[in-house]
Amino acid sequence: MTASRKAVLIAAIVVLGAAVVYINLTFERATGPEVEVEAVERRYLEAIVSAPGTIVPQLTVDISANTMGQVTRLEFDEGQRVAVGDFLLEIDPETLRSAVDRGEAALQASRSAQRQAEVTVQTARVNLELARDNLERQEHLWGLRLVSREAYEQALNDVALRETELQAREVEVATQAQRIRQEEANLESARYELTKVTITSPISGVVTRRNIEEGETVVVGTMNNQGTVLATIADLSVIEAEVEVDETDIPSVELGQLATVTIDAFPDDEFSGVVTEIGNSPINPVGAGAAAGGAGSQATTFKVVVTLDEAIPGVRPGFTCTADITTAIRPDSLAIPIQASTVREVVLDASGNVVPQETGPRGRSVVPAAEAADLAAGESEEELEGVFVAREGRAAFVPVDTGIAGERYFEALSGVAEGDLIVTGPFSEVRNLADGDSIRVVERAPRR
Amino acid sequence: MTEETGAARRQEGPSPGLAARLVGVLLSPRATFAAIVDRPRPFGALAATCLCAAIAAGWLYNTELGRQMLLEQQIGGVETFGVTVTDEMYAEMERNLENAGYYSAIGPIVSFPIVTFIIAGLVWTAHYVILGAHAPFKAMYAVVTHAGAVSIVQQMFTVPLNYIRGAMTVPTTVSALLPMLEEGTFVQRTLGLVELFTVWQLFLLAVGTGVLFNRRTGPIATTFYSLYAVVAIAGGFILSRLGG
Repeated sequence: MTASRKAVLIAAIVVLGAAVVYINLTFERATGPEVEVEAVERRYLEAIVSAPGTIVPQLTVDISANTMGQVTRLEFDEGQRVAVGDFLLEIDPETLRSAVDRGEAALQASRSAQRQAEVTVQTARVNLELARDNLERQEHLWGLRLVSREAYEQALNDVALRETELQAREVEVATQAQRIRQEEANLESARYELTKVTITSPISGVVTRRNIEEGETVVVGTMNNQGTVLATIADLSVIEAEVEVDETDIPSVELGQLATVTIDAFPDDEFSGVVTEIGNSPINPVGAGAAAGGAGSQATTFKVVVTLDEAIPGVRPGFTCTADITTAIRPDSLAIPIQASTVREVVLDASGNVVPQETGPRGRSVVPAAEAADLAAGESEEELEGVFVAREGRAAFVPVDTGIAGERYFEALSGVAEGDLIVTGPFSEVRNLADGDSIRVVERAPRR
Repeated sequence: MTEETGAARRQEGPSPGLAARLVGVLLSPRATFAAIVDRPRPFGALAATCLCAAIAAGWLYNTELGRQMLLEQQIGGVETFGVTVTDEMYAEMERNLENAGYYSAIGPIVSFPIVTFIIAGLVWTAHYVILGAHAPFKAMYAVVTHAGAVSIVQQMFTVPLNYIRGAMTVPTTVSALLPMLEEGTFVQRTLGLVELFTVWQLFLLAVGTGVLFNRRTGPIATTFYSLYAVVAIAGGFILSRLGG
């Protein structure tokens, strides 16, 4: 090999070496896990509280009997539409009708007795007049000494006797009048009792349940005893969704908030409504849940009523439904994908700013980040919610203050800016990433 | 580079010293190998390459940065085979790093003699069995150990470079020179197994083997490079499949 060729070869090796050094120090191939990213955008966000429940009519009336007896007529079926006052059923009226007849007869008898007493009063008055006339004559004759003193005193006593007799007859008439009022009251009561055997519809609506058959014997209905309910009539012109909202969501629910209700039986339709009632007591108190199935076995929920804006043809009480209550709206807020949100332990300085920590080559959590002894004065360790932002082939953890949560996005109050590329997946990588990890970015079109 | 056939020229005069042989192999390989074959002394070169590699590795892995680089390389190596490094595995790797400097220094001292012996045995046996060529094994071993002079240059080049850039990946692969290649692909994996110093070392080995067995360098080098290519392609295929 000549000296010149050797010089060229050495020069080529030197150039190649320099190229190796330059390329290695200048270019860095993207390494690390492949992650999906999405740019932060301004979006219209709605905070939705979803709660399951059932469809109920606004007005429901349970029909019970006020008297006991056998049902002799039954003229309604389940699902039948009825109007106010429509006849529903009749309980055997014979006993009560007899009572009315007895009352009417007793009243008639009392009135006859009263008329008889009034006649005796008239007789007593006539007798008194006759006794007074006789006394007047005997008194004149006694003044002429034409009759004995005995005859005069007898006439005097006879007047007194007739007066007493008249008073007795008058008292008897008054007593009979009272008796007539009593009989009238008894008759009225019997007639009222008779009306109880006929049961009519108290409202217009649909018979949603019928628990009785003709020939069965009913008992007097009492509260808290569903067994005495003969039928249920519901006014389906106003429908409500009674849903159970979790205790963590209930503070954000307010009267008047709009809601969308989906009924499982009509999966293709959505019905709008308004929150009209919010329960103040839990449906399943902690104590009750603990007693039934052990402490913490059940979530604590509150009843919320959503009144639907319009009637729903074909709806039946008891249909299961889900209400999506819109608790907040942000028409133009910075939005970060929910799946990008994660929690990491960070060190904060006295001002609350994040202090960058030296981590391992991949920033794994097992690398002791900052033990208490390592913290400088004023520094503290805290778990913060945040996202990983893709910057120059690495994932940077950025704490984020979040506002409302939409269906797929959180409202970002601080921490990120419009256009930042947020690591959104895969989930396993979001869970394992550490601040400063190398990543390979696969940009994903934001969802609408 | 001219090809010479026929018997190796006998060296007249004194045999060159160790340093002259190591430098000569790099700058004038044919003449130097002729002198080495004429008077084979393999152990000096072997000791020099072992010592150089041990010092370089021992120094690098005794530094904090070196240990972190080694940790990252280990994790990358595990993940290349599709295994997710758990926190427990990470902690275990980190514990093992405490004595990494000593182990790294001992490693070349133990492995180099064995590896060079195996390579020398394979090349010598192939020529003996397939081609019927005869040469002393000691001379073959001396050729292989002196070709290791490239690894001294390699250590002097890559160790400082790795320290500066803070990475343990091999900076002198063809893949490293083509950063536009997508990570994990078959091409990237294959070219990642083609290392420039190894290419140089194979060339020197071909020259030394040609001198020893009195044959042309070209066919020998072609054979070495073909085998190297097969290994790289197979390795690239396996790694790209396992690495996902």
